[in-house]
Amino acid sequence: MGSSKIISNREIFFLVLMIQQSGLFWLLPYFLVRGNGTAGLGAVLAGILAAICIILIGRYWGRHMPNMGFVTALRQRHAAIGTITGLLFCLWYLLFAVLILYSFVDAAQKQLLPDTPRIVLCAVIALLTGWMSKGGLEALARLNMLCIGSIVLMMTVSIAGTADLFHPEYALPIQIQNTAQMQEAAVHSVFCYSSLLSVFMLYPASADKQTMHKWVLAAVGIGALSLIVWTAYALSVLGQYSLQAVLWIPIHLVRMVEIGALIDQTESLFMVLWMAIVMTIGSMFLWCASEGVHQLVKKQANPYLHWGIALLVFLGMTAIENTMIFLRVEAILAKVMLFFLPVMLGLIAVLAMKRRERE
Amino acid sequence: MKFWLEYGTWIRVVPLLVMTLLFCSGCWDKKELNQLALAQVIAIDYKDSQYQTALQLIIPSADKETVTSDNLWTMTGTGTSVGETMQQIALAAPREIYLDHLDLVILGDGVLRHDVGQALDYLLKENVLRRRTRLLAIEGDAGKLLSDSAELAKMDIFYMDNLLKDQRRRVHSSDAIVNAYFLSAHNGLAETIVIPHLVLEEKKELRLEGAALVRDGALADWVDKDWLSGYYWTVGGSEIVTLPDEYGQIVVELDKKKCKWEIQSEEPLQIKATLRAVIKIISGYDSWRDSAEAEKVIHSIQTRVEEQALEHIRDTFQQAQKDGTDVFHMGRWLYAWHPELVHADKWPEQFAAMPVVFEINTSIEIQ
Repeated sequence: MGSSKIISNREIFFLVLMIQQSGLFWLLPYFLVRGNGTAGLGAVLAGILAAICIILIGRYWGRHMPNMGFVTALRQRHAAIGTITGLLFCLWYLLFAVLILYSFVDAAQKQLLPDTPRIVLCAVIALLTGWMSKGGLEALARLNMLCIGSIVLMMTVSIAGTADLFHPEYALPIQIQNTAQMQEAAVHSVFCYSSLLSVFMLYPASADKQTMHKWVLAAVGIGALSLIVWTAYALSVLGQYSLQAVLWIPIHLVRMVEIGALIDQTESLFMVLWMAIVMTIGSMFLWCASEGVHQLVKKQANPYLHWGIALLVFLGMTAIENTMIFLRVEAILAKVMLFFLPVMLGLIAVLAMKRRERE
Repeated sequence: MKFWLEYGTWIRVVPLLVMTLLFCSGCWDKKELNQLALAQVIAIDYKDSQYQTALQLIIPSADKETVTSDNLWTMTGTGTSVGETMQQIALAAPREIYLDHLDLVILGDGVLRHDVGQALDYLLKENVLRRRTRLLAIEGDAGKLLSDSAELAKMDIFYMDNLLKDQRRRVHSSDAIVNAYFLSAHNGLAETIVIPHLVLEEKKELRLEGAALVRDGALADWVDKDWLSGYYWTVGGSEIVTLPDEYGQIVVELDKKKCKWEIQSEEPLQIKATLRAVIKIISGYDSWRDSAEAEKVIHSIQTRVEEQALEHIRDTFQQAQKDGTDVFHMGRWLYAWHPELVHADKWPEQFAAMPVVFEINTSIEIQ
């Protein structure tokens, strides 16, 4: 695996920024605006709060951990608790990889490839991400830098192509109408931002651990701002009432773009760009899971272990049969995360503190 | 020469071959043009609790580059939902029906009175309603336009498309019509969409005249071109008007801007609408342009246009209030910026009794 490689904080900044453009974050606007329209965007704050907690504890851990892998370090503090914590983290990364990659399969099949069997799409995605993540974090980080341009291009095209339909009054007034759905949106927001738990795997690879948290915080800030602006823009184009039942809001917005008289199915272009993003981020989570398991079983660059994890991602994707099951799994995991996140962060903090006391 | 590969090479080659096959996943969804029937127009009717759908299809032939009447088919289906009618057509069609190039959706009288939302639901779910897709309303059976007078329709549908493109260029609000449908759907603000009215005159000529007003998914009223003229003063658009004058016939182009709404008083709630336009004199100015009376004539034209505009907009507004059709989206505007002044559930009553003061602000130029 590529754990021995060191990546710059700038590359980590872009990785964290890109995590916030992955499938789960593009699903988040659906939960946010449902029931409350523009006011629902306030629920992002719960996620940002969770992200700040993760980053601060990550910083504390980063300061007191030696230059070794996250799971290896956990196991060194306390063999049993460390192993269980590490295993849970690996499982969590694996689930994130499955959900992010499945979100793309789902949208691609609905928008572009309705006749292609889902199992084939899942197999292709699992193979590609397996191959990409095998290249290690450094390769992924470099590829990710290239993808940033596509994000900017996509946003520019979406906004420029729909600017004539922009009406701020569609997104107003900002009123909370359904507090129960506001709470639900906050839970989903926390779940999405819990993907930043990958920061713990990134810490050992950082070239400058002392300042890494600043880069991650900046990426979260920019990502959150872009999420809010993007969703508010979509609301101003499509209206609060019309977006209540739309699952993939960015795709819906892009569908309104017409480039000239001939190229009107712009979502195809969008899907290609999105594929690049999802593959990179899905590969990163697969790398996190694989790297974690390698550390757990004390192996290095074992292809069977790596492809075994990729196989699990494939099986996980095929186990989700349709969008309803995907949303149900997502909802369950979001609720589980509310308990998982503080427990995991607490354990990490305690283990880091023990190390500090020993020092 | 060694023909057989090493064992280790096979281990690499076989997965590569499998992967190559998997990367051909797009082949499942390949679309060959000569295996498709391209739907261009759909006409939807509702009669005796049944939906009737007529679909005009272009069947491209491999050996011809141009589309002639031989390539145009009209197929019909009947069922309890539009989806069912489409299934019927698909089962009878000679090729796979491709809906992604749908240009026109013609809604018959029956569907307009029944439920537009339900009729469009299938097309919306199939993601085939795009910005370039035009909605048209027709009094009577929409399907007849495609089936009974087939020859005429085949020729004129292309003409219709161009006519609509021209309208789209001239009227600022028409290109968001499908989107506006979502927005007006049951938000309690009596929002109404304006669907251009297609008229088939003595089975000889197709033209656009007036519009159908659809509120909460059902037809509220049919309106004429004078009503539309007043309506365009609020949403913006361009219109060519001929003014008979003592100096001859003067043709002016009115470049109407979106009107500006303001609150004049909160208690009682009174709204002020400022209509804005640029009056461009296109022709009929040769006899007086260089004379001493030019200024007087220009002033007279401006006054006349303003008086006519105020008359039109007052009539349009009064009819909208009478029908309870907020085509101006005033409720949405008020609810967005001053939600405390609007009771969403009582807006139709509030709108019907709302006093509105109209002001007009124009500039004039000779082209």
